[in-house]
Amino acid sequence: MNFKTSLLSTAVLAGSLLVTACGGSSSSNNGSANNNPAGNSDQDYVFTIEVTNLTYAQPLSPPAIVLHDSSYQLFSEGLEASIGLEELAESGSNASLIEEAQSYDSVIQTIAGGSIILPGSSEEFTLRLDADLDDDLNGNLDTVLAESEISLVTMLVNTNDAFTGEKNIDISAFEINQSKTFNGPVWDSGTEENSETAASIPGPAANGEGFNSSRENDVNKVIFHPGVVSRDDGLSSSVLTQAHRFDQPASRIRITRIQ
Amino acid sequence: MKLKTLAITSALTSTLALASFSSIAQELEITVSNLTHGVYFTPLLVAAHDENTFAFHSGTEASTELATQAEGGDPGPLKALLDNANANTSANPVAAEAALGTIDPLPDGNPGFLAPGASTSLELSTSDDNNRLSLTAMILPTNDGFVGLDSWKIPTEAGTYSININAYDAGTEANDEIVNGGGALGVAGIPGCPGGLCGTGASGVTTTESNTKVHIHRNTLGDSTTDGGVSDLANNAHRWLNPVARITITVK
Repeated sequence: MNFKTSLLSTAVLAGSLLVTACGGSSSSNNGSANNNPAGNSDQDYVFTIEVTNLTYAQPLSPPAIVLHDSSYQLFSEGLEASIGLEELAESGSNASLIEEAQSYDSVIQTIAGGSIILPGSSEEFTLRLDADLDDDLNGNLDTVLAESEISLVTMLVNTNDAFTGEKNIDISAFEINQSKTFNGPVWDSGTEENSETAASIPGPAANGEGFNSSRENDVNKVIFHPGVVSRDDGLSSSVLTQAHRFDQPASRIRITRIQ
Repeated sequence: MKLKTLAITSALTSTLALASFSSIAQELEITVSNLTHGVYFTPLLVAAHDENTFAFHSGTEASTELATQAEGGDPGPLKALLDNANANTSANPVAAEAALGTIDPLPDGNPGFLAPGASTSLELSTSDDNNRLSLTAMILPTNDGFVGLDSWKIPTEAGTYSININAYDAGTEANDEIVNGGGALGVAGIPGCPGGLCGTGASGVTTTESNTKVHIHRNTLGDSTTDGGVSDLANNAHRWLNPVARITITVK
């Protein structure tokens, strides 16, 4: 009952907003999104997702953003990382993870970021749940929204296999213009030993190897990252310096419903 | 016809929404705890302000006023900036409590510093629309590290709320970790070492600051020598992990 009423007033507000804001805010989206045709319907739900790099010297790889229902887990602490997450966390490439996500029925939409987010910088992505999506799912868009969650991951590229982001963010109850901000912790995918050697770090600190499917010498489960040691703190075989150290959180994720 | 009705409903809805969301004056009781092992907070600045005002935003450059506090500990300029934007501010609650005798002043004569493990309390009356809470204080000994809360939305419902907050780097000074008294804006070095566990004669950890935006502090490096080495800080005394402070807010 209550739910129905709030949906109704939401629809009314959305309508009036469209009229007044016509041609106003144009949002940029450097990534490529599937299921994102140009059709603009009053019924569309549109969100912006801003990712800010809070580290001192860890560029963030192009993020993988997944819109899904609550049955999808991009990863779980204490369990093995998927191959897609392993590849993202070791090399910074989001391609396998995006492909993997799209193979699940629980995944509604994906966005593959296209560029690195430098320390101190932000990038904004736009996520649109539109009427075409509605047809694809043979359901009501409101029903889809009521179950929608966002998961987002990106690699700290001057590490062996560290990533940040957030998972299972419930976006079903956002009012128009409402924002929520999340601090992204740093996880370790548990798929590559934290040797910190030049040969193993893909970022600009070393330009070493990215993905390697071997999971030898690591715990093979996703855990919170213990941080990097660096050669300045006594690990002589490390290519990293004191500048590459980090603390939680490494990223800020701000989600705003704009339509 | 139907459209028109909808438009009117919409107008009514917005008016109602505005009326119900505009905030009213509140009475807050705020306790700040230093959760770290061995670093101090310089005089705290606590401010309630409106949605368009802020003390800092991570991912953007620090104001000169924030840099002044983060590099040297003085909350005055940032307080003035916020006061000018009609914020409700409270600076240096530790000194106020020390004067009242409700908190023990530090033995080394820094009555405004919040020691590791210590807490301080203050009361803040907020004006209409000042529904965001921010806090800043320099972390000593660091070059330009500060503990920060950025625009936390003050609940309208009475109750007690607790939040953990993090250590930031203002991005305005290289983290050389040399304790040389350099606390003035733009002057290299760390102004002091409360607690007295620092060494001397360090060569310096770095001379550059490549990220000039406010960011999460990567932590101090320190070293294990009190004479020379790269850092005057001790690696077993002056490090931390986030969160570094807890704020408990009682909305009356």
